[in-house]
Amino acid sequence: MPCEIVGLHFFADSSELHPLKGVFDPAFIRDYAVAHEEAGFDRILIGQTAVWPDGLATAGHVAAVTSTLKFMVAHRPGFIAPTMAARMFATLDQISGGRAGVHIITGASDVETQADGDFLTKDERYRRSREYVDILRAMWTGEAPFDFEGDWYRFNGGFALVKPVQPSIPIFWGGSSDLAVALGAEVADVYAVGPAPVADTAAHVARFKAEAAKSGRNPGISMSMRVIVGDTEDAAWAKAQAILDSVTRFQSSGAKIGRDKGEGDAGTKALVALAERGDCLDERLWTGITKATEGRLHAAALVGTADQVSDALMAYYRVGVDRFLLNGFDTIHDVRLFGRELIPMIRAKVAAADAVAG
Amino acid sequence: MKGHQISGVPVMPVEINGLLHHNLSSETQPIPSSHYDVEAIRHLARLHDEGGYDRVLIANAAVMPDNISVAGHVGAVTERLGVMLAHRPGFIAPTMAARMLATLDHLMGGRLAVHIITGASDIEMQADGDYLSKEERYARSAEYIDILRAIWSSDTPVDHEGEYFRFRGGFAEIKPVQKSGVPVYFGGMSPAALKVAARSADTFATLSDTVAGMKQLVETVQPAAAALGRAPNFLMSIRIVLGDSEADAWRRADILRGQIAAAMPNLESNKLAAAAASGFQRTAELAERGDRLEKCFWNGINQLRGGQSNSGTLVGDADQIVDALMDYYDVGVNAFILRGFDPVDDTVRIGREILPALRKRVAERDAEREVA
Repeated sequence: MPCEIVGLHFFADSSELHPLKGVFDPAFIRDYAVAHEEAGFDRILIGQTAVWPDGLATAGHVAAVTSTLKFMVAHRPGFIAPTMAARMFATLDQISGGRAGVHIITGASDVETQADGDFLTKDERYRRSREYVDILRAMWTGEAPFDFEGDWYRFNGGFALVKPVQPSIPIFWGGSSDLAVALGAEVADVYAVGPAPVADTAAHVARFKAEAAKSGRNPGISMSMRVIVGDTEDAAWAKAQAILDSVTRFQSSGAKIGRDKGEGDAGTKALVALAERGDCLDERLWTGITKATEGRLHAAALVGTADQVSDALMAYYRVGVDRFLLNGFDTIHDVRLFGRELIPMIRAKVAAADAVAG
Repeated sequence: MKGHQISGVPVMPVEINGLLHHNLSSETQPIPSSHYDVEAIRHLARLHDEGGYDRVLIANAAVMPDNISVAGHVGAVTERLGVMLAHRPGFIAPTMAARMLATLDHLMGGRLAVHIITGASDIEMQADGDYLSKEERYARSAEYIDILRAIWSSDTPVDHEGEYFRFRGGFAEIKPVQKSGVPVYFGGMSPAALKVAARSADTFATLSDTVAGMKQLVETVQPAAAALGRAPNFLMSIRIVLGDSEADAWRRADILRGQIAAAMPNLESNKLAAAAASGFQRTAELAERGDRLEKCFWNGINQLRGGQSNSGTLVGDADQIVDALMDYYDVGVNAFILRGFDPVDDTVRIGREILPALRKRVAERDAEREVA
């Protein structure tokens, strides 16, 4: 099966190499999206937090300056009435000519959800997200107004006059707790995982696919991965060192890179644990930045030449990952570099693997 | 605070807005609202931009397509046109809505205004899961506007424990481009609505009415606002039938009435809102007062459609229409939504023949006032 290459939107020309805070740069946003499209990315993730600029509004804007790039708009259930959210995404799908995608994120910390007025527990949030997705889909396909009375939502006569262009807008789903996996397996079109060594990812994917098989489903798997590509392997590792130096220098002033999700955040702990397993896992999975940012950043990175990195990604492909969310450390320069060197190589290797598999 | 004062200076220049729908539907050639036409959105946005309009209203209702992404799109295809984004409190967490609106304001270079509509019909609100009463909804709108402004202006996370909303550490890394925040327009004609308008609105927006009706409304809201140290602008949305001569304009009006009467079976109407909205009731009462009122206020389409559309119309040649609009300006209306009956041709013609003339007359009037 062909793979999908996904990029990561930024609100400004900011990365660990040159961090900016609180900057929103529409010209950069447009250039960056166009650069992704030109580099051959299929889709772009627009993130969401309790303090960032809004992704839906941004997606409507980016849709106007791109023509093929699809969206994966991170979206937290619980803050918009699901009937209205369904119309928002249907409208985005219309305005983009069928390029919308929703990434349902639930597991952000309690601290973050309370900042927008949601005081549910994480498990409650996952159950609500499950119901939310059902409502989105019912709204996207419903031919007539309908009533709903669920555990979390109630409405009378919910309806969307305008439907998505796509038969259904793809639902991405993240979360690795048992409940997140069980519920995601029931509804996700694509399950999203973070960077990890191949064996870990294989186990994670197998666990999710087994759950999904219970309801006769076979969702896609998206993996996010930072990437550092050099002309030679040494050059790539030199780049990695330079990034680490830059992060160390920046943080030496007391500033912190990454998102502080509060004491006891499970995601942060998992990243710290990953970094403690070693600086370089598998052949070239580097945890230097994860360690330096104490788990605040999902920053494990594959380091090597384009050939080596694409080989490493193929190991994930063989265990079921069919979408790669690739992000470098040098924003638009990396996007162009990946477009020139890495993406064509990934596609060729995936095609070759598919041909062998028949 | 910027605002309008009838007898004082300075007076802000008149604001002239249009309406942007998601297709090219009109009463004479109706297109179902289920038809979403991206090219039409772009075309209408550019027409208003080039036509010299200050903003376009992008409406919102319970089953209609979302207008936030439309606004983001309009911002991408226009150079200077502002947006008046209709927005209903109660369906998006106000902290998140504040970030959405701040983001849009950036995407359109500080050209955003939000038009807070509280919703008249209980039944329509329930379609999105809101079961409050109308009185409660207006109280919630007031709290919502306070939260928007707090999130837009606060440099540190905000805790809030109100009647309708509670959050801990609400914050936006992104602030509106406009230093005083995104301007808040507000609509609603019930007593509960007028109270909130006086305390919260930067611009109070109303449906079409006679000059006498608008005078009465301004005289009701302005003192209530002044008592709270506020001086809102007043916006009226009115339709235009423009002719080469007075006779030509009325001939056009007659033809329009016939065409719309013929199209009536195919016209969508918001019966739910119409039954519950004080504004629409006012329009229905206005329609009963006669075919022609004051200098050139025409009730023809209001009479045809009852209170279900906001179709009070000024009919005349360009001079007559500008004269009539100046009568409104003189009683305190300093912002308009002007639209005809053809979303393309009328937008262009009103932009060409009415906008520059009206702006010129307003500037002259303001200069006279300064001298006086």
